[in-house]
Amino acid sequence: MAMKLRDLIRKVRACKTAAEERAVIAKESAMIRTAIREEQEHYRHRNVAKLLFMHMLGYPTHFGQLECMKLIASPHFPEKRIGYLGMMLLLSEEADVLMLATNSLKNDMNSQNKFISGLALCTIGNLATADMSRDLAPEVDKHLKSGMPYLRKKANLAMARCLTKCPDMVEDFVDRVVTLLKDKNHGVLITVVQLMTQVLMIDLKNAEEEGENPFETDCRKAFLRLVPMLVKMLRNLLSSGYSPEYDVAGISDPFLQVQLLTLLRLLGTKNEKASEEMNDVLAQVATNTESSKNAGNAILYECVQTIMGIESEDGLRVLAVNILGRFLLNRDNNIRYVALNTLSRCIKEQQETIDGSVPTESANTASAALQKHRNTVVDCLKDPDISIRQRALELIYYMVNQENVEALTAELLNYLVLCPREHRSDICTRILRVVERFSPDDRWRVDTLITMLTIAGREASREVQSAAVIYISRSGDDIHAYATHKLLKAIRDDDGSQRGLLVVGIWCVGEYGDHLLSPYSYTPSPGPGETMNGAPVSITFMALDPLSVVQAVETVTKRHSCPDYIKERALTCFAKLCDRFANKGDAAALTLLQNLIKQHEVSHSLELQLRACEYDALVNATKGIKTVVKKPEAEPDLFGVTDNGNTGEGVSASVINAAKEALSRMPVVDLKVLDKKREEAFGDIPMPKAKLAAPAPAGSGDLLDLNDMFGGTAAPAPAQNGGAEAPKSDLDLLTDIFAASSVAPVAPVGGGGGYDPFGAAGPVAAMPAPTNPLDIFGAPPTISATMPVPPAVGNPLDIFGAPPAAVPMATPVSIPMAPMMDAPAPAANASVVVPGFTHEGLTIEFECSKPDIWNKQSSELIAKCTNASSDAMYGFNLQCAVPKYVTMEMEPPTSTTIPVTGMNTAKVVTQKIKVTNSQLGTKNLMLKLKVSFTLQGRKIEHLATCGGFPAGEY
Amino acid sequence: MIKGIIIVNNHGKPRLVKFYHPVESEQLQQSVIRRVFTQVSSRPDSFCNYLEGIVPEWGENVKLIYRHYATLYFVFAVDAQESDLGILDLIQVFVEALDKCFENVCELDLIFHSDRVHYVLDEIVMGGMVLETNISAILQSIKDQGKMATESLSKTDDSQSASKIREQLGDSKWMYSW
Repeated sequence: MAMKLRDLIRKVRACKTAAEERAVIAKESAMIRTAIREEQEHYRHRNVAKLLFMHMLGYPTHFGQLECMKLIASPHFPEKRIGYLGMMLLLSEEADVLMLATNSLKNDMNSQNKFISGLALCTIGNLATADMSRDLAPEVDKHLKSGMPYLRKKANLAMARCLTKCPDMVEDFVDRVVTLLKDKNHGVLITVVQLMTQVLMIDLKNAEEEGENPFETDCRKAFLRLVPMLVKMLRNLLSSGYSPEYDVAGISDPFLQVQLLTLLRLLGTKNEKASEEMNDVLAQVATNTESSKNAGNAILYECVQTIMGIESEDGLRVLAVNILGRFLLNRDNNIRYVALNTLSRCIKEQQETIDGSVPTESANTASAALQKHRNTVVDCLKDPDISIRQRALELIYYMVNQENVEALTAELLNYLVLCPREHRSDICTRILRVVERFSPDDRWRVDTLITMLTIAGREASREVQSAAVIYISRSGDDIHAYATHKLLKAIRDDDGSQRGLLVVGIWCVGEYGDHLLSPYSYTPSPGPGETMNGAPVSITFMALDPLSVVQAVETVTKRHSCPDYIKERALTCFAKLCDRFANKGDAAALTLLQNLIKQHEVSHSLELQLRACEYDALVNATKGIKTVVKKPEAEPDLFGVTDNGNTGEGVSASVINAAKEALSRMPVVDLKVLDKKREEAFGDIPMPKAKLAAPAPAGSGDLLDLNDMFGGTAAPAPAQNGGAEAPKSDLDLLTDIFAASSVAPVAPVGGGGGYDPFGAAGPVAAMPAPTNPLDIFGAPPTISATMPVPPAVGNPLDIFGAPPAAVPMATPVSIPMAPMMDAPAPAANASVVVPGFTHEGLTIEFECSKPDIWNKQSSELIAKCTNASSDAMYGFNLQCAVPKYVTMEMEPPTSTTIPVTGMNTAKVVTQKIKVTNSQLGTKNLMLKLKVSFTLQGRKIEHLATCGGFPAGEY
Repeated sequence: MIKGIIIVNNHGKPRLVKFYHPVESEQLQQSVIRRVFTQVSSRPDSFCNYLEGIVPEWGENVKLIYRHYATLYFVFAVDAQESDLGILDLIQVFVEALDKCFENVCELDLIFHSDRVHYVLDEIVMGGMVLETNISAILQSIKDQGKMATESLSKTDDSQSASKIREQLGDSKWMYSW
């Protein structure tokens, strides 16, 4: 015996596992199939009801479709009802059996019973196919004129379905729709308005398909004539008491109002006349609607959208933006969400119109109104709800302009710290866009990019990294130094995970490493708004010695997690540093550099090995040392250098020069390259040239088909040698730099290695030393400046030399290595002795030093206690107190007993104190000392303050 | 247009599934339900009631608008044309209608009388468009149809089939019950 539906539900609910549930359903399905086969018509409705339940749980029910057809033909209302329900749920419009229902539907629509007709209309509205729509439209049409509102409203929506399925019927139907709007019944009107909206949408689509102007169709014209009527209807709704039964929270029929506003939006789009007719009523809605309830807000929201969608007056637009501004302050998240959503949609549309044509007055006022709500939008970034944060983020991108770029970018960077990882890459790219368009100056741009990389270097895309490098390289020497100092510090602070930062940082250290050797400080000029914050904080970086720079990069590559591509860049960096530090007199650093390069000559990575060998040869060549390839017969030529007959040639002066140029400063990257890359990668519209920092140097950037900026960016340098004109570099850029180095001084050769040298060996540009004061070549400037370079056109210089067998003797060109062993110690490491106090024969002095040259704030004080009394001091205890801005760590003294020291420094008791002054530069280090000891049986305590530390340093 | 309406409970069990924008095959429908549920249930109630573009079966630009009542999530999937805030009110209308119809609706009512839930919904939304928002009008038509169902059985009292149906359907409280 088949069980009741209720029992089936109970049984399914009692199942503990999915398998158990499947078994129950399978058994029941089998029973139902049997019942269907045996035509047990008394159980038909129950079986369908069971199938509905199974369907909801996701089990197959197709075998019950025909049963639904049989049920709708039943004379009993309950059976008919469940039949139609089953039909709507179990069948889709693709089902073949649906055609069978057409006749039953027609019969039921003609039924005297409104509920039976209603069921049929509802089914048509939910399920009708194109064929059914065509067949049944006349029947539906009859009901449009029905005396019963219940049927009229269902017929309206059923008609909407029919017209959607058969768009060609719209034309014949337009006149009918117009009359429908006269309906007195309030409940029917909402369906009429929806039907009209639907018809308009279909008409729009039809017109587009037929290539007509969608705003000039007959249908739209007919509807436009109804605008006054719709406006009147809306106005009636506003004056209360129209239909108390449709009140929601004291607002008469918000649903109808919302639908009316939607329809008006469609009609007012790109139509001045209709928009004008609406202006008044929209203003009325916007000002008179109560906004304490959701219903009211729904109307306001729709009204704002309509105002923004049509050709409305400026005042109205400002009003709309202000309503949204009020929404933003609402505590309800939903309201804030829609406000953010609408604002970003509006501002986006405006920007599109501005970009496309002359900026309109209205757009400007609305944007101006929006800027007033900036802080509110920014606050939304801190919301816990991701939907709201994303919306706010979207909006902020559109709000950025020249005036607020610094404040908003700071907020974006803040958000970058907080946001989920998966969004970071996207945000980085967007910040880059903002920075590109609106940067006030180069320093800010570079600063922002570096900060962004320190936060999200892991996630930043290659494009962002390239752009950072390009913008750094494009700025002046001052910024180069600043960026390099900052990046080196960031690299040191990083734990090796922000790979984008490492890539950019290592590139900069290599390229501008020489700047690191001199200290850098920058004091921003106080802006008008900054005066209240007191004196501007100056940025200071200390000078570094070459060895520590090299070690910093080495630390990065030594990490276990360091990927090969960073090691590759580090190699390039080392090669360049060989050049940058060549005459700095730090032999240890240079040796370390060469060792670091050499260590990869046996690397398992082919790329690393190749680079290591090539760079080693290159660096040697700059010193005039010929690199000899070992075992030439046994190994394939690693450098692609074949025996081309240059048998007699050694390392000539021109080779040295070429090698030096290979390692010298890169030319500035042409922005066209960046744009081109971006077009290739993203299909973006290139940024307007006028907004970018400097005009691109004349050159042939377009010729440079570079897959990768790092893979040998080469932009022709501007001709710096007087009248010489920069020749178009139409060389094959993939030609190996080592093979094609025609080094005529005026010919900037754009040559990128086929591999990825991250800029080092890539561009070879003629940058005559005298014109570039910061150009620090490996050799004394006189050589590179005065060295006559033989024109070597057509005779590719081979800096590696031909195969060794053919080389008789490398011409030794000695380059003085300038062994400046007596280089003065960096000022930072010099220690200062500050007197503490003297009491009862005990003298304490502090020997102050900076142990960490990277962190000026931290210093190390060594308290030296000397005992000038006649007896030893016992139980020595020194306590220190420091102001709040200083943190302190004390180590125990070397001894608690201070013997009589006299002049013997060996007996001095010392105690190490580490302090960190967080407000270095503004406040000085102060110490409050409390010392206690026992001298000759007397317990002595003494308090003293010590503030004699050099101002600004400690 | 409303693309679909789903009611799921806090454990992801569907309690009402209605697609206005057809989603073929039971498997796809179930994956839609699962996807909707995982997205919706991961959000605390304090968050806003909107979720965007996470149901590929419905196409682009479909927004989920939902409300959480006790053990049930009422989720409406709508396209861009629909008013974001208006739909929230519509969900409220639907829930209130159910509440009046079942006299303090609870999840069990939805489980055992899912057909009635569908009847109520069909009086509010039809073909993805709003049919009626006046709760008393909705309740009236539901009540009238219920009455008609019993009457249609009593009228044909003599026929044997009707008595059999009545025997199975007869229930004093709901007029009929399975």
